[in-house]
Amino acid sequence: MNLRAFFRSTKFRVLLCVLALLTGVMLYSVRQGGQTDVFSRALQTATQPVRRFSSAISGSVNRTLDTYFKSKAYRDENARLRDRVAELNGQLIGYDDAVQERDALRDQLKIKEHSADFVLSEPCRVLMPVTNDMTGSFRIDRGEADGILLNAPVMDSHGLVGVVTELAADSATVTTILSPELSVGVTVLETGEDGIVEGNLKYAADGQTKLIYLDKNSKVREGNLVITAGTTGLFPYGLPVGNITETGIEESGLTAYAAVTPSVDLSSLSSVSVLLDFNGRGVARP
Amino acid sequence: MKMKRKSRTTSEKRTRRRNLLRTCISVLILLLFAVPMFGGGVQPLPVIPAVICIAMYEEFYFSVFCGVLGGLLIDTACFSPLGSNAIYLVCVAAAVWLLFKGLLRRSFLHYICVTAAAVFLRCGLLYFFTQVLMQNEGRAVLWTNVLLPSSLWTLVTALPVYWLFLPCERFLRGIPAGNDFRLTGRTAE
Repeated sequence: MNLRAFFRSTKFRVLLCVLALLTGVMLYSVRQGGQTDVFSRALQTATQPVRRFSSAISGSVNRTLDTYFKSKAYRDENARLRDRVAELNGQLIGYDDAVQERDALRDQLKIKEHSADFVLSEPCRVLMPVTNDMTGSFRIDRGEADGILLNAPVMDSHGLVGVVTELAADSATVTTILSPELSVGVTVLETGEDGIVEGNLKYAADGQTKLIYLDKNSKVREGNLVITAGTTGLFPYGLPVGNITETGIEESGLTAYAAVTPSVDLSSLSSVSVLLDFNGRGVARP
Repeated sequence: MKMKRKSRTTSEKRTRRRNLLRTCISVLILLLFAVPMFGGGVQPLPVIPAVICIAMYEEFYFSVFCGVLGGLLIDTACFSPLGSNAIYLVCVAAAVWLLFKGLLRRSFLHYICVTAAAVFLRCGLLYFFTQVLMQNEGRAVLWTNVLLPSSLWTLVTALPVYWLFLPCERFLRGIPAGNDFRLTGRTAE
């Protein structure tokens, strides 16, 4: 069949119709935001059993392969951890001081007062990471039917994990703070400086995220604690985000940045909670 | 005077049954190869070689249908905007069908070359639309950590896909073992 004949044939017209239909579906899907349109939900729900099955097999195979291919890395890590335990045993002498400091920080944060108004979901099991995503986004086993809300913060006992970005009836997708798609207004606890935590693929590869828009003369230092600022009404004030591990000046020379290691170990999450409500939710604070 | 249609011969009935069976098996193989994509983490996308295989051997409308189905499966597995991969795979299916209809011989070498082109073109487009346009910092890491491993795994899975499709095609089209269309470049239609 020559090309001219093909372009004049019914086949080509049908192809154009199919492409137009798919473009319409895609635009509708993109316009919905959070990919929570009817088609996506239906497909997500329909493929849920396959997802679980595939995830179980994939996890099992990965664990088996891991044992064989990373045995040397585990041995090294074991040795390193033994050294660390010895070092920590030495530091136990200063433990009481550390406890006092922690209590002081807690008072400063007013975590107790703030968390008293938290309405948390039932614990959600982490089903599986999202395919071909390097920012650690994952699926949880609770969805709209369990009262989970779109854009609700997701946390565990150590701090902020991410937000719910896609909802199906019985599952949801969580985008983590490593993702460039997520921006969180934060404050550095020790210095009171404000900034935005926004994921970055370069840092995500090392399990870190990036704090941007700090003042050029920022006094932020390694080890400082980053907490949510609670200014947008999307996140409560004082939720731990992570600790600063590195600082620098942006290429433009106008602002400073910092690498932040999340308080939560995102690579080994098994259960999280969704923050459904808190005082000041949906109210922007100056 | 209205002509009464002659009842189908046994041979016609057998051919229809075979075609139906071949279509069902093709869709089943496509769905089977979609399962690994739902595993999470860095995964191959074996649906792409499966769609290419179907487009090589089957008729146009069925190839386009498989392109839509495969694309929607990738969209669902990777949480990309619904329809984006479907558009791409429909175009790939139509292009492959045209290529093997008029230009290329049906051989393993051509199949693997076309698959590699389709897989890496998808990566390029994905990278361009999600990273380059958004000017995301550190985007090169995406290549080394996700796109390249996933593409290479997809090419590896292209082998079992081909070796599964080929016997089905041979058997259900009734091609004698000696008449290998990898060598002749023609199907027994």
